[in-house]
Amino acid sequence: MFELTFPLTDSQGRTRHLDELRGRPFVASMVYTSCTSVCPRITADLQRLERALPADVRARTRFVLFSLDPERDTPAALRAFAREHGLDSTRWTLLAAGPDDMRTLAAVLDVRFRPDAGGEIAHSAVIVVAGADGVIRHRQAGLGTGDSSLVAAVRAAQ
Amino acid sequence: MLRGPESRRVLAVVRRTAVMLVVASRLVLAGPVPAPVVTSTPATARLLIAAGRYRPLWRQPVPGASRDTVRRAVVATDVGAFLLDQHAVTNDDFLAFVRTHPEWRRSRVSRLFADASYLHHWRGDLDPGPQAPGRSPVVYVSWFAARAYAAAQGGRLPSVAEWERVAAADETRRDATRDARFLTRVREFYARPAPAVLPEVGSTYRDVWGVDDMHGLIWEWTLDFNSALVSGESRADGSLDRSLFCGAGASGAADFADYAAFMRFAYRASLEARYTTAQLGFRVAYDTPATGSARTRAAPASTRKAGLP
Repeated sequence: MFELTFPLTDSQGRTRHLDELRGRPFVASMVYTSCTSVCPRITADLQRLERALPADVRARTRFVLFSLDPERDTPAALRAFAREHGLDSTRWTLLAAGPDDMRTLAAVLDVRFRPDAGGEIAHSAVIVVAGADGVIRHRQAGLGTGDSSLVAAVRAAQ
Repeated sequence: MLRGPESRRVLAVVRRTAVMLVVASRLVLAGPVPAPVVTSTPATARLLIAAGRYRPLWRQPVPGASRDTVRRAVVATDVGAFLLDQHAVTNDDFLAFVRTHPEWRRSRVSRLFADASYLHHWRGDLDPGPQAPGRSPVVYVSWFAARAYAAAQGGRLPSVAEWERVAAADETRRDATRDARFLTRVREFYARPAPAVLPEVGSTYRDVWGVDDMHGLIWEWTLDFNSALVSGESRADGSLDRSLFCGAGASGAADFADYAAFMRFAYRASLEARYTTAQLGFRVAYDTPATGSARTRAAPASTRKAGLP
């Protein structure tokens, strides 16, 4: 994934690049902060995965949430989201790319999405596990299909 | 197709190039004369597509009378004016692009951005060869490659709404989707097997907008092809969301006789951005200078049964 070189903004308003994730395996998904349907469940699934990892694996693994809604997911919105869900900032990174780059990211992760008239974004639930080299090693589409395969994938990506 | 002034310009360029070559060959006393490099192809004409509406196949949730009921309706999308290439990007066009963008040549493209059959019908990195005639649409290109090409031209891929709006037209009408004969023609194209070597652009039909071959030659990448959701993944209650299913959700909303539109919906849902296939190419769209970024907006639910203006 590190071939994607466009800039992203984190929850502190800093400009970041995907390449900065190099060196530690990471688990990633695409959500948006005003989503009331599937995103809270994705986040909960990722937190359950975080708790299920052995302590040494957990210490080395990052969790990344990419925004599907960069216009509304400002750094403040990302911070509020992280606070509401109690995300450990030493392990969790929330990133928002520009609209065109977000589309590229969704294409790479194969996240299907469609904004609708009411301001919601219908989208598929995708969780990927990437190695320290940024290569995607495992991809889960759909919710709640069980943690064991994700745990195994994270361990294999170490 | 070159029109009068264009063909005269091309002839002038060819004549100038020939003169320069003769002069250069006389000046060079020793060593090989470099082969002439085709630096550009005649620019593809761009047609102005006026603002209008597009009615998608699917229904969307719209606020109902009470909090607990969610009505679903087809929400017509306003499509702003934009410019569209007269024909699909050709092998000649794409060759000129990979000359100046080596990262998109077959031997160098990243597997993140294109699968293993990327341009595999070309004879070489810079040699389309007999399977890919210069004026035929380029195929076996991924969405990422198409987007990069479009950006290099100062344009972008058309959105599904934009593409479908133009695809609704036949030779005389902007919206021919109520005409059974038009729908039959399109279905017949989908039923035909792909020829081994694609015909040239402009070889099928020109629609009322002046755009060629929207049906009959290739399938085309769109900017938001990955908006074709076919299951209720986003619903928290986990139940089947009929608004996102082609069949049940769309009956009574879209014209069910437009089987081809359902085929395209299903096709888009099956694609991934890195895929390359035999009949999948693209054309480029451009924002109009006046409107700048021509974003499509979702309009409130329309009760009109009429088709596109």
